[in-house]
Amino acid sequence: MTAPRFLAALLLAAGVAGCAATGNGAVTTLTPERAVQAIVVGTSTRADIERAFGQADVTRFANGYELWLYQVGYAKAVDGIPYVNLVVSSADNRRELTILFDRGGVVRKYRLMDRTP
Amino acid sequence: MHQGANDVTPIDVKRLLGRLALGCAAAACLGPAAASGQAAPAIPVVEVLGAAQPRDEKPYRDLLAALDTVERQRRLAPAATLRFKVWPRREDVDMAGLEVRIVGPHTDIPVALAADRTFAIPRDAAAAADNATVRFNRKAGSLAWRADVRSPGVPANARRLGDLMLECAADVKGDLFAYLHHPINVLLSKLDEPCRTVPLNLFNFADRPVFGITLVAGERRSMLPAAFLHGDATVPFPGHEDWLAQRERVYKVKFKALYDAGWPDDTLLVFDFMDEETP
Repeated sequence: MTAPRFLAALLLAAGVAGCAATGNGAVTTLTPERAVQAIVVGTSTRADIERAFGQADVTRFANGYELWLYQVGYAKAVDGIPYVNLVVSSADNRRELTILFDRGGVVRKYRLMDRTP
Repeated sequence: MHQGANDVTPIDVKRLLGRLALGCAAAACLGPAAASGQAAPAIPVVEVLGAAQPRDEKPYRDLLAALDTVERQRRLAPAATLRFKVWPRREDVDMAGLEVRIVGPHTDIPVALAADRTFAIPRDAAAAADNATVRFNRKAGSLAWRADVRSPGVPANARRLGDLMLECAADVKGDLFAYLHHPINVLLSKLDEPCRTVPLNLFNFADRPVFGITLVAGERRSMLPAAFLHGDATVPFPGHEDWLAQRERVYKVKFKALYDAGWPDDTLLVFDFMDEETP
């Protein structure tokens, strides 16, 4: 692959990964109070969460747990793209919602985080 | 040294080819004599019974360099102890019966391996002069190596920033990370304090599967973003990574950014582990 094509591929990858918000966009306006109602630890299932927030970036672990991530800004995928990750990072995102499911697919923990300037 | 049955090959192909090449050269030398009708001398038969595959090992001098680095930067963690720790690099690596020794042509020093797979490296001038290696009884590429720096008094669910900074320095100077030996990376490792100078992307392992990490220094608190947890979503060169089998424990610390923002050495990274109640 020539250098310009490689660069174009990286930029395209960054563009694809850099969508505005994961899921249906509900996380953009989510408040801590509404999160408590929408995400019930020990009760809410994957289906409940997908209905409320749409499709997440999913990480499955060897221990059977599953992590769902909603980000406003760049998707986490950009952090692993060589050279592109020197310029942009999902660490700079304005907001993210992380939900941990146990082996039975029920919410075990969640975290709503706004970036501190 | 203990070797598992699955660590031994029936035939070392490279050595066999080498011997075949030597055998061909010998036959070529003997050719004219044989052609002249003289009796050919008996050629000793060499039986290749097998040879061990390359072990998972690091140069002893590299680990000494890690020790030296920790001593030079001792101010970061004055009371800390330095050990080294290994993790399975792939899910199919059997960690039972793991042993480690310092070995060289004239060196064979057993190293005590603790139940948590940590070990200390003794200073031995003869072993260094012998070009020894620190060798595990596992095939090359089986283990992920890390420095393990611990100050006393740190809670079990936390790590101290200065300790982690020292670990980073020891990991880089000891060449413990498995990473692409790209010229840029090699150049970075030559810096005096690479972890403090450049924003390295290096992966640490938590003691248990981790959900979140909060930085705590007095009243100051800040959560690490998802970008720094559980490794990268895309892995272009998985063969060069040593953290993939530990994804649920992986976290990154951006030392330069944290120190530039005024977080002190005594800052605690408080872990919210997956399997316990959120603190």
